[in-house]
Amino acid sequence: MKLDLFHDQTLDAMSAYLGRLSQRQQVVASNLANIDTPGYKTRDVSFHATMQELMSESSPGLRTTRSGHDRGWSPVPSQAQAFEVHGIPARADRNNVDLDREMVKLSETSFGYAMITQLMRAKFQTLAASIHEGRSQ
Amino acid sequence: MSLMTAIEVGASGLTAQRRRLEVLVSNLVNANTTKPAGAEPYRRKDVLFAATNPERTFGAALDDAVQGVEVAKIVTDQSEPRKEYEPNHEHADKDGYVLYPNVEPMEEMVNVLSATRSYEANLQAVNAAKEMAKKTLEILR
Repeated sequence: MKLDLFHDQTLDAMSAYLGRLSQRQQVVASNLANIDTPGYKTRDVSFHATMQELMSESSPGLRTTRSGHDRGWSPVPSQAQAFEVHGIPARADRNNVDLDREMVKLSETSFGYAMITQLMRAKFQTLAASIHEGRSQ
Repeated sequence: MSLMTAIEVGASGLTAQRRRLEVLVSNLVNANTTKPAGAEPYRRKDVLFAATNPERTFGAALDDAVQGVEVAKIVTDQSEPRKEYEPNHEHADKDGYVLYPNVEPMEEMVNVLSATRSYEANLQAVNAAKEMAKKTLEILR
């Protein structure tokens, strides 16, 4: 089995996801900071679009000229587009930040982040295990 | 690092809400402050928040989507002061009326609660970002 340390698709996907989560965290912090700012509108970053793009077969990989070439992993855009969330009723000051919604997003983000970092750790521990087993022979 | 931006934004929220709390407490403590007849009585004050852009580090900010907050200005409530008939009061005017500030203690308490909750929410956001940064460091431990 080929094990490429530096072009690991799982690690790439996980770090892309971590990047998104930390962007989401920023946006949630921004929403919470502006919970009393008149006219401020709730924002969010898109997750599904990015992950679909990342996982799709048709995503642009490296161009290959021989069958032995690795198609590679499609580059993941490092920044997601933030957008205004529609459909949340606004208060009299035209602000529509919903504390409960933001707290749920906050928990989701922290939980997702903890999960992915745990998985990455497991991934690296696997590598470390193979390194140490090799040395002990 | 973008989590630092999240912490910075959360901190701006903490500062702004604390500032608001200071103003609200000033209203509460002055709820019964009178001044000599003819002088302007204390008027209740409130803060006006405005969104700000955090400092950009390594293009960390998502365009203008991530914004901190600041107290843009402190506004004075221009509603009429409360007039009470207390002829023996030192600050009574010639008709025996004393002007009390336009502060409703109940209303201020509700605002204090709202500021406290918002402060807590920002604190949660800062803590969550801190935990996430910690988790990142744990990856290679």
